[in-house]
Amino acid sequence: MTGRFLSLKDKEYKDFASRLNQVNEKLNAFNFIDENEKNGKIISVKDNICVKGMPATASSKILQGYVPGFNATAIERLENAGFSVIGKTNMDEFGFGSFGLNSEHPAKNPFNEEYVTGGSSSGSAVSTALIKEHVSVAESTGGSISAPASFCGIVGLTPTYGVISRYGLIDYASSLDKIGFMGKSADNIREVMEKTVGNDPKDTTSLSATISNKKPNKLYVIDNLMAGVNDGIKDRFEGLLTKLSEKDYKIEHIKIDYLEYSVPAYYILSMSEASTNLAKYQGFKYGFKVKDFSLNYNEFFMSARKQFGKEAKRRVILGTFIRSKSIKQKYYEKALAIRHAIIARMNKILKEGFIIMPSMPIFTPKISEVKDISPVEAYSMDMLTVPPNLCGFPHMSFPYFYEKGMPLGAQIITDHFNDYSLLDFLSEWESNFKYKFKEEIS
Amino acid sequence: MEKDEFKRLLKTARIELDEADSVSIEKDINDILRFFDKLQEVSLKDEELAFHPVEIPEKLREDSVEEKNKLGGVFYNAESYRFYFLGPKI
Repeated sequence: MTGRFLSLKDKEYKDFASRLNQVNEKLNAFNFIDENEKNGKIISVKDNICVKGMPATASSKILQGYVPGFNATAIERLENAGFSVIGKTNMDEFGFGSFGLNSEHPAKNPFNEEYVTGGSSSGSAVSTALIKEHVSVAESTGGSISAPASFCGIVGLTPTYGVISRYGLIDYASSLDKIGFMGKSADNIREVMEKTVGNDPKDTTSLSATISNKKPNKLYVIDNLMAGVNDGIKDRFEGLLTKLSEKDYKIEHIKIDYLEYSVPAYYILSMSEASTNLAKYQGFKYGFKVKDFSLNYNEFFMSARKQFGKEAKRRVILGTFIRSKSIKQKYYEKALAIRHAIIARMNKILKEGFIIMPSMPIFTPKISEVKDISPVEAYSMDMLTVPPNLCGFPHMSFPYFYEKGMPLGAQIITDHFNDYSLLDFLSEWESNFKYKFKEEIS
Repeated sequence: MEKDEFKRLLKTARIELDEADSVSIEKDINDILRFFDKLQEVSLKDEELAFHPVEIPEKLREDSVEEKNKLGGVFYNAESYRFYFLGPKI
């Protein structure tokens, strides 16, 4: 099936961009909106993916002024297929956040501005919710597509690790980062996915595997993960399971060992990798420039790194500690072993059926309710999105219920390289469920 | 983590903090490390280490000259002078 996208030409686009700018003043979905005329099916792109000639900041002050002179491979392939990028979407700085609040101007939830958007792909979720027939190219490391998709009432697909090239992605954690998509229909997401997958000589971790669509009729619910979920969410999720069982899905409750260790293991690995990836921002090569060449190297480097936000500093400090020789075995190697143990167990289950769960363990919180919570409390909110991300399994969040006007999302996970089965599931779901999108710009 | 160790770590990580951030981040880091210590509950000593979530086949390319790192691209965003990066003293 072919997707349907908004195609705007010449003056039509100018008018569209003007309407988008007006809404953006209120909701902060975009860090940059391109005013130049477009020819093609419009898409937006998360601000940590490089688009030639457009600023790429990853919402960090340290990258202010950085304009890539090249396209990420995913963008190059989409442009060659007739897509046109309208702008760069807001996000948590470098992807460091679950609520979209680690940005200088956080994006606002389109359903209610007092509520969080989820993160880190906050602006991609908002732009997808607002713009007619839209797809945003986003990225997930530990849940950055599922969380905002769930809170903003849209669909978020995170593909198998490696099936989409990471070339041109501003790295957070190289063994975990995955470019993916946010949209409002299975056909649209399928079209952009088909245009972007495949081996890329510029990314040695990209894969040329065949992507299948083996859709099972069994749904596994992981009871030891559900134990930490809010009772209200559990109740609504039970309603979803009832609906799906009426559609001939067989529901089975299971336990998977070691899943309770996935969140600390994920943060250990991601912080370790982030602390090395962020070392390239030294104040003279990309973005922010120190310009005081009388400083010695250490002073110069420290001066540049003052531009990092608080969460980025926290992760660089911890990542540096975890990688130190005397500590490495205790944390880093243990986390790698946990990842291996979980992959083996989930792999076995996913050969037989999908795993299904709520996308987030809580109802969408107000900004005021989470802006001051501790890092450990914030990290714990990723308990449902981390397992498939840590293990590179393709997964998708889709809206299934509206609670007092706010959307709820469920997350479905499948085996490596079986990504299209998620979209087949979504096509079936769409034929029986009426989405409510808050506002549409066309 | 003791205060002195935290100060040494800041130096290694090349992060400078003001007094208020130093106090709060030091506390956060100790909380997060306690959270990470949960992993010590399991042994997994014979478990393989998963450096990647999927197997990444080793890729080789022809041993031939490739045109890479064109000067215009390399210096596109950098501070430079006559095809040299302008950077701090080492």
